[in-house]
Amino acid sequence: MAPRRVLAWAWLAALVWAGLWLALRLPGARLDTDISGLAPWAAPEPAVRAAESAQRSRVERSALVLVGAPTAREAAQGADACAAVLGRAPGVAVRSRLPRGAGTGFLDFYGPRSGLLLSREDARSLRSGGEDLLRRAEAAPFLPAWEDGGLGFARDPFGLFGDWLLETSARLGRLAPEAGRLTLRSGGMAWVAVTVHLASGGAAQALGADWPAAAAAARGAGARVLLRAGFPFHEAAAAAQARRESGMVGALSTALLALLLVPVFGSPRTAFLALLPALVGCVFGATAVLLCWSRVHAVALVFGSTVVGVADDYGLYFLCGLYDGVWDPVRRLRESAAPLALAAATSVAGYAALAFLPIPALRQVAVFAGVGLSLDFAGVLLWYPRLSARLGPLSPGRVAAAGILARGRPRWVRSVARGALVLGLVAGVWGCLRLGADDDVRLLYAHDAALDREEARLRGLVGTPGSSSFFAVWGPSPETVLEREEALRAALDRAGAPGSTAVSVFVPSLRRQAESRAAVEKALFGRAALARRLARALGAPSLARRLARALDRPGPRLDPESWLADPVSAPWRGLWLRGPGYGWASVVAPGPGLTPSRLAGLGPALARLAGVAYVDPVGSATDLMRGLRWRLAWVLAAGTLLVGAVLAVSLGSRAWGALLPFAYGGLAGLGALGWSGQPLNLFSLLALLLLLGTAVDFGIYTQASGRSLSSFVAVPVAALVNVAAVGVLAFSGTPALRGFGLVLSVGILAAWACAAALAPGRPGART
Amino acid sequence: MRPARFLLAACLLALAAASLRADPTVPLHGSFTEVRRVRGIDEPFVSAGLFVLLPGRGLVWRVLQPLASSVVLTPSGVFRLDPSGKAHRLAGGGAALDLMDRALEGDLAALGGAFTVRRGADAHGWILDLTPKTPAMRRVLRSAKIGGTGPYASWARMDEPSGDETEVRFSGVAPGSAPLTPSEGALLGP
Repeated sequence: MAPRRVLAWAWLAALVWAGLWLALRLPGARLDTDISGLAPWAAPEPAVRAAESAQRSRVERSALVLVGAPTAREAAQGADACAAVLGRAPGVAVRSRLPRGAGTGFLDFYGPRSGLLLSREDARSLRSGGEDLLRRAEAAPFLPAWEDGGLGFARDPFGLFGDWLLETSARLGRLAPEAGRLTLRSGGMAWVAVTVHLASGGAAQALGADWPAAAAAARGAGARVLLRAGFPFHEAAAAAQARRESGMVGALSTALLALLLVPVFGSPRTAFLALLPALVGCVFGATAVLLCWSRVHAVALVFGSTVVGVADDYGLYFLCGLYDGVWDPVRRLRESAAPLALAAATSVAGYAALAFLPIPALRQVAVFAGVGLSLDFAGVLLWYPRLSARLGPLSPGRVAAAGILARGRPRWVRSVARGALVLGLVAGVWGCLRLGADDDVRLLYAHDAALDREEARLRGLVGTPGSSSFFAVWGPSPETVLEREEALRAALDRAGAPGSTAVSVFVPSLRRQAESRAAVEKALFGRAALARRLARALGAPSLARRLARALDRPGPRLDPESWLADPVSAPWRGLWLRGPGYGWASVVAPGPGLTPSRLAGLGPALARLAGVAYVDPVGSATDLMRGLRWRLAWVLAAGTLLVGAVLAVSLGSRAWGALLPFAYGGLAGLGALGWSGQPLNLFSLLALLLLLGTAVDFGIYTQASGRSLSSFVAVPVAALVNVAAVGVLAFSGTPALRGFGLVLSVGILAAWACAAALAPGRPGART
Repeated sequence: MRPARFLLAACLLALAAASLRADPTVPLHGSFTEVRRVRGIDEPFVSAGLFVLLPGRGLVWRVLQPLASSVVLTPSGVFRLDPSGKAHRLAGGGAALDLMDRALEGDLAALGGAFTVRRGADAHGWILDLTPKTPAMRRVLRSAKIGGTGPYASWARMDEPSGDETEVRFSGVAPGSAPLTPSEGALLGP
């Protein structure tokens, strides 16, 4: 068997194997939508890395639903119904009731340790004599309700523990235990919380799938309003949209391609043959990605489907030879092999550049496109002469019509076309002047506007910030970490951003505990003599004796170890970390008031705090994207120079004609982006990189065989095919993909127009 | 933090009022004298004052002796008013709030969900004996009794799990509202 035949059959066997493997593997493949997968960022400090990872895991796996109804009973019934449906999915733990004894546990743990706890307000008050606390205590035993914290008047007559509890619970938002549920009341409604915890990140999609049924069940049980918050819901929505979009891109592209190609070739068989590389490219590309990675990013899937448009160019260019008269596939292959190889090399090089960016999702795109397009090109060389051997000639009418279109351009049409090109140039430059850059990493994420509104309302009700930024604190011992946390929290309070959540809120440092105890002792039995004065005012001398006895009796210790061992710490255990390389570390989640200006004002104070770092994963990822945009701009410039050099060697002086369509298309694409009001970002430059591959192909085809009718037909059809394939992305729900689709589709059309205008001489006879 | 005693007193009052009045939506006011024995303190605490019950709006418990101070319960929360009239919101009490809200509307079935209610009588008049049913209620109240000779409650007694005991005597209970201070009026709403 000739080596060529061996290669052809090997290629086919590989295709069949890849198709079968994909059919088995694809349905179970996990679709990744996490932003951090797009722009991985790693902190230099091990403690910060551990904190970042812990925080990400917490954020990725927890969600909250608030079920609102006019009465607490209806809200509770709605919450139970919602939880029952959501809890059915494997790996999803849902709670609408607090664990048994949750509220009592707090008092059981902190009650015996109440002497070690002091709110900031009371600490201030005691320092200034504590007269206001004395006045409140004098009225307390006669009132049916006051700030006693559940210990009762005899144990806590000054309400110090009650105040500490109040200060602590205010930090945790407005949700409070009520009848065994986390509840809040606002605007005449009662809201009951349903907490969701995922055993693994993969369970988010099951959660999203079950949500409509859960919401319906809750409404059926009396709920009026349901609000969702938390990453898993956003992840589920984004994954659903990515699946929908990638399906839509594929289906719509294929339909548009069929609509385009059947009239061009006059036969469904030839049109199918032209479409075949798209399918083959996707099969090889997807197989390669799934072989290399266990998880595929949604962006890779959507971007990967744009390969359809590029892959079609090869078959299209080959088959357009039918317009050049008598069909001889072997001769056609000989003629077109060089321009096809050049086109494939530039396209693969364009996509391959993505592999040099440190973004796993884009590396997946590079592998998808690189493998898909290379094997596509090989398939065209190995199989097209055989598959197209029996194609009949095109109908003379069709060829004649194309000939008329090609030759019959009167002078005025060319003048108008040139005028339009100049106008396009001006509009492009003007649009580019309107362009602004925005590298916000969240633009890469499809946002469900309704979900965003729900989350904003929920956060407003609950009073907890939804920010992803936090502070990492570390030190050689638990006591150091707690003291550093306290210093940080004090700095945040001074900066006008109180209400941070940290372990030291629940477990004050030993130093702070000693200070609190000393302050209470001094105020009650020192010169202020609050204990004696209260006992005298109430006519209850036994109270003073009891207080003195209580102060002499030390309670159990309060440290991170005992706190972590008690169920009371369960919701916040993830804030405390211990690991090799950093000792102890913790996460401090800032309160809602930490605005960028306050953070900037905090800078000098933060610089003085040892073992404290502000961590903003979204901000860091955005900075990373900005850096990548610049890096890609250099890659693009270098790539253009390289392609220019290759073209200069192969086409000589005609290289300009092959390169100019790219420059013109790029300008027009960016101009359209500017006019549409969308920002420039990494993905706009990625579109330019892909445009380089495609537009240069047009230039190569027109310059290499510009006078042939086949080239006259192939280039605009290829342009339209590309637009059909990627233009669909301009309607994507993801802002970055929308910009990408717009730049690429406008760029390709403009590049074709430019390539057509620069075509050497009049087409007609074969050269 | 956990104004259980107050809420229970209010519930009892509302319950008694609702169970014995023809029209549960009529406001009530009256005077009280309370004797409280706190476990661990030898001396009892005695206080006197006024209460105003406004169905649907809330309840004012105004202590006049030995120190002026009051607590206001509304459907949106419990507030302590200091002598200057400044309101301090007291956290918690949500479960009892809901119960209270319905008691104020005369919904006896709601109280039946939280307590076992036994109606009885002795030589001095009628008695309602309440025993908490739910664990949450049992944590704040061991038992309660409320009684009277006429249409309105004239006494109540509460025993708490901590060992604290409270006895309240009502007098001059009559339909209609009593004048409210500006702070109380602002908390109760129109």
